[in-house]
Amino acid sequence: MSFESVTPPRYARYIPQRYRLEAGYCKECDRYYFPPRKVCACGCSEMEIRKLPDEGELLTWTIIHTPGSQFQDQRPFALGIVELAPGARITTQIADTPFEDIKIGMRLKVEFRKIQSVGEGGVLAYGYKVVSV
Amino acid sequence: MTDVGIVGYGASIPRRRIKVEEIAKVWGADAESYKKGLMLTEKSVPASDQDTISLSVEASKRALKRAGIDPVRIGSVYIGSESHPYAVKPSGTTVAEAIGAVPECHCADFEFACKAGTEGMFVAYSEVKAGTVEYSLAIGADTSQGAPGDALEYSAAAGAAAFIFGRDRLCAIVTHTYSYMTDTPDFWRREYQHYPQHGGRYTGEPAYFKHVLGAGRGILKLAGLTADKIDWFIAHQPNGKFPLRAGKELGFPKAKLDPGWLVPTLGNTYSGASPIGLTATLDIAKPGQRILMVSYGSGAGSDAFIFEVTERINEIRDLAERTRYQLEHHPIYLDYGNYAKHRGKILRST
Amino acid sequence: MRDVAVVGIGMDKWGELWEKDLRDLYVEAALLAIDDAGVDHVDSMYVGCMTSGLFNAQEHLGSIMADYLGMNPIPATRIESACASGGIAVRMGFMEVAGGFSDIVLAGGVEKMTDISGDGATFALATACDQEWEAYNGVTFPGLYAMMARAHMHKYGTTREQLAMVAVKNHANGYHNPNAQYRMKITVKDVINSVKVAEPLNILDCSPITDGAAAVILTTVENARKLGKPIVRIIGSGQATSTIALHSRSDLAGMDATRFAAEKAYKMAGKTPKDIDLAEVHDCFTIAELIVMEELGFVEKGKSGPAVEAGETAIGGRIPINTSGGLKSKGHPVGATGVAQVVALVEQFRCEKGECQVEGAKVGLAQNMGGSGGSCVVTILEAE
Repeated sequence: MSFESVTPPRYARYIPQRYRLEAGYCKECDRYYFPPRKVCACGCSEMEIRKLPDEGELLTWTIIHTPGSQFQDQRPFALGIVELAPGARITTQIADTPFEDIKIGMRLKVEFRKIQSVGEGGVLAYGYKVVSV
Repeated sequence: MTDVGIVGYGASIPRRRIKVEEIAKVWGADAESYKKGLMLTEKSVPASDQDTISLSVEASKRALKRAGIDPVRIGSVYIGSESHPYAVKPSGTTVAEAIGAVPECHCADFEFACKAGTEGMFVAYSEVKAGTVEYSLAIGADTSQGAPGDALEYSAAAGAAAFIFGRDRLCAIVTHTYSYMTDTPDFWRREYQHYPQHGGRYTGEPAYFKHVLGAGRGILKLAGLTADKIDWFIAHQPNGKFPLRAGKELGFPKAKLDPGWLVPTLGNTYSGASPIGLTATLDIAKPGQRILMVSYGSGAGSDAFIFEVTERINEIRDLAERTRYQLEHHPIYLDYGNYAKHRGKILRST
Repeated sequence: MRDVAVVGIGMDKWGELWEKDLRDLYVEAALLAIDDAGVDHVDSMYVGCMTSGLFNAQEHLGSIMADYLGMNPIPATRIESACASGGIAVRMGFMEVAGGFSDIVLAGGVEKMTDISGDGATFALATACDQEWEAYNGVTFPGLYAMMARAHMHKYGTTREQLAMVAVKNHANGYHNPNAQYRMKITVKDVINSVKVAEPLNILDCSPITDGAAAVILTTVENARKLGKPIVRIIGSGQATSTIALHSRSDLAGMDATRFAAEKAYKMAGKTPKDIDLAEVHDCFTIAELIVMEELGFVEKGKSGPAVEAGETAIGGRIPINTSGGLKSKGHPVGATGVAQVVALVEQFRCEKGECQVEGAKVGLAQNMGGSGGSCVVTILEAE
């Protein structure tokens, strides 16, 4: 069995989110959904598309030593949950930031990076990571 | 005929670095002689998640911040590089998506060794001048490699510079362009080869200097200007020495090169080299000053541009991170092992 | 609604079982349960399994297991809710008997995880988290729980040692469990010095990859009496969901699905946390046990670390947790875990636990959850 961690349609479908952080915004409850949803938890199904801010606060984090095979070469790497807007948080790698500098509450900014590649000759999958401000 | 020029500019330089000493000790070479000979002490290293596309995106975002335009108005995106991540699939489509220039946008990737970026700039400028697009984005970016143990390993670095060309909101007007090109096999890479080959000392006089000086002299003649009328000079920088010598031969003292002379601590960013130097110069240039940029691409040719800086430069230069700031802050120094791993130089069995 | 009893339990040794395949595992556990119950037929069956498709390239488990148990044409249903598959299989069986649809139901769970490479297993397990917005960016399951641990430590001052104490306790219990995968005692130092997985978690904070199955036979209390079996009733059952991604939850140091499922189970059972004599909880990682203890109401929010340190959850403590060894020592064949928790509680009520006996235990709670807490099922049992 071979495992395709990312297939072209699955990857490309979310390019507006992966590349441009396009989120859904529900006016009724002033909250964001990333990725955008068809329906808000409040029942409202008319969401606006809004781009998320490209900077946010680190809520929690870890250093991954045993990642999936497509990330093996990058270990150990830091990864955390960053809040970019109310309701919109991303689980993302913290790049180019010494581990000893990482603290809950710190500001981090979004950068466009290559996330993974599907084997030697497969598609290159890009997306967001965060770096220290 | 309204002016055409740069509306926004930006650079992206990786945070990781490696020093000449680190490389020299692995190959048993004399670090001091390399440092002296190349006038270079360290270079940038792209992390394994950085490539020509990702660096181009970051540089373009900075250019957009300075330009202050809606990205959908960008009508074409051209990236010049020797290290496009795909052999077939343009880097430009990913960058265009990332900045929101899609879908009404022309795109093609450019290639001409280290002058692919400036060739893209020329085409972008020309499209705006011809009126076929409103704004055009041109990028010079590279994450090129030098063969392990080869002299080029000390200098081959990574970086990107992006320029949005247009007719309004100009921070620098393009007053003249010129190109000087011949078939000169000084440095090349055949398909499926991992690293380039070069002609050693043949890359100097008959290659770099012939074309850089040819273009430099040619554009000054075309513009009817003498060297003293130019405030800043940026030349392609494969090492620290070459641009200084070219500048001297053209009549430019070192002080006129300093702002754009980044190679001593950045390394040679190939298609990014003179364009990144231009961004660093724009970061400090004053309204009314003239900038001359001459690129060089092996194979071989040089593109030359003369820019006249406008008042608007003062309003926009700090809307994004300055180039020297990126070069000097957050450095992360690597040892050779990590460098080789990041750069994929280690033979894997699978 | 009819009263439902667990009248038979079946579980064999768990571990890396190279000789046994997916079908063997389920069938053997089911036969043990049927034998234990003394029933001569089964009306319907449930198969809890997270992802036989990825581990074994096999779906359609209902048909296979009914076939290999010689039970065609009874209805057989595959239940999937990541690591909560087994617990929900039991709940579905309970509802089928309680609702009068069937009189005797076999509810079993199985996972055969060692037929593929470690990489393949990691990939398969990652399908329990958000594939596009968590796994895509490089997070792993230990990574998600590690982030919860860090949030819990930051918010409540829980210490690294307190996390390790959960593993130490569960290994001390599992040491006495003949079916457990890892029957060795460990110390806090062993845990902290073991290989780093996702900081602050080390390998000894994490449940292992295991092959195994477990099964129970559910029937009416009336039937159970006819069979002459000791009566163990399912008196409460609750199920709930939370967001798929950890980052979507308002409290990163909590598990709200557990809280909601437990509330429903307590309400149905007419019990409060104080009434629970012992519990089997989902310690896929040490931090999970700490957070779950709080969400089940055994301790106040943030106080789980000190409670474990004070021995409140050890045998002989105020609320013994995971006397079977938990996922940590017993193993975690994903789809089987929830069923095995019920098996462990019944063994306690039957006084079969020897060294790990909780004296006078009458009311037990099993909490089984999926992924990083996106689904949860809580079952409360009472022995007569």
